[in-house]
Amino acid sequence: MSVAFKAVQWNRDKLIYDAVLVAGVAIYIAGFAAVAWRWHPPKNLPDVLDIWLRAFGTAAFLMLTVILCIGPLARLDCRFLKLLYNRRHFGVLTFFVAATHVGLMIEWFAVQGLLHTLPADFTTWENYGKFIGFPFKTLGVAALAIMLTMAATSHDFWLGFLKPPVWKALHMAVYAAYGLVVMHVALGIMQYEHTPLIPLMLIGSLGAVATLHLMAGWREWDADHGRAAAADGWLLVGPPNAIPDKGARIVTASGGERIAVFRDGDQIGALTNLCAHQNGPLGEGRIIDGCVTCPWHGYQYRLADGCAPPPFIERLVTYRVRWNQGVIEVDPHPLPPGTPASITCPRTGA
Amino acid sequence: MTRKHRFAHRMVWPALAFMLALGFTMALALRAPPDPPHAASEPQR
Amino acid sequence: MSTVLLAALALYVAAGVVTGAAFVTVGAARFAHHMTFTLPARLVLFPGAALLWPYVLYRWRRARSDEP
Repeated sequence: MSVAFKAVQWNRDKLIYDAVLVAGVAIYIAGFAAVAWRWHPPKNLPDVLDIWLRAFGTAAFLMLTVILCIGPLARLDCRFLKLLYNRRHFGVLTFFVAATHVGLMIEWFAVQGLLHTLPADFTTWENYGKFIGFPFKTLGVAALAIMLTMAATSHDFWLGFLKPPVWKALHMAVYAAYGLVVMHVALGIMQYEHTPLIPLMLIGSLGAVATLHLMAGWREWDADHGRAAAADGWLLVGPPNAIPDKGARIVTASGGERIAVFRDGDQIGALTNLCAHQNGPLGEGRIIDGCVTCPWHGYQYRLADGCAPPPFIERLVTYRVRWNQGVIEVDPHPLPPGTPASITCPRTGA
Repeated sequence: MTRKHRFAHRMVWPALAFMLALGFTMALALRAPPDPPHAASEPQR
Repeated sequence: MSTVLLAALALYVAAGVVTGAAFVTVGAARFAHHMTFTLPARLVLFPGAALLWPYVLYRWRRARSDEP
């Protein structure tokens, strides 16, 4: 949040994240190539290209799988939040790995003098009516186009230009890209090679992505339906100690709106769980430098009144809280954005 | 994520996941049996 | 058929390069809410501007016509 747009907003943590990421991808690709080389020693240049093609292709697929697993993992266990903060860089790197896979494929055709046959793979229209035999390269190219769009619009400038809801919807297309890649592999290489490794990779990936999303969804469903309300409609949050210091407990009003009740030492305040920036889950964030900090992109708000510290102008809806016989309760009726509503709690014992 | 979003997500995602799993299963079930070794052709891409 | 598709793609990309270059040079500041751009930031914004050029052009024209 500086006064100049920079190419990449790096800080120490993000640099470490990126270094580990790049090293991990390089080790995977080199390891894959080394094993494949021993297993099926290449006889000519197309064989060599084939090994790299598969190394980059599987790397991109596995990276896409990890990207989709980070979201639910961070919801299930806050230790994974670290992976969430810099997921955009992960996505951009995945695009470059996938693009290299495509480049190697073109090279594979070129070195055999078959480049002129490549367009027909996309324009043999009758194949689009088949299931087995569907032009699987088209599926891969469509996925790459989605990844390119996401990578090209990953900068904060585009978030402002396209407006957060459009940007977010655009970036949800990562799920479409994932589906396209699964079918690109299933209708492509899986049809020609009968090694069990390919179906196993797809089943493992689909299983991990689906299971983690179901687990995270189930936990949220459970949280949305398990909140007792007091006689006057105020919601029970729990004793002050039940709210982690510099963290929040999320409660759900009867209509389904979520309220993040934060504690900063003795101060307790309730804000909407939706960040003004991109509807990120504020209640999964922490209080850093005295401000509630969104886990997605680090937008900050004062606990006392839900206002972003100057010079920023974002304001959040707040909720009244009270201390009632040793427990904290929250009024589910929202106050106008920026209304001071926090309280100081007598001895939290923390 | 707002309430309406959550509701839409809970409806749409299981359906999409089921379609994808079905697509993969059909691709696995319908694939041609492996060629006999002597007839192995150039790997396709 | 594939020649026609490739030609259409090439045209789209060419228009994108021109529009994208113009946008990151002079147009983007209009949407930056008083923030400035470093040179590397302009380069990073270029692919997005080139890719989404019809929409970028639409918004740019609208922003110009909204000016007093």
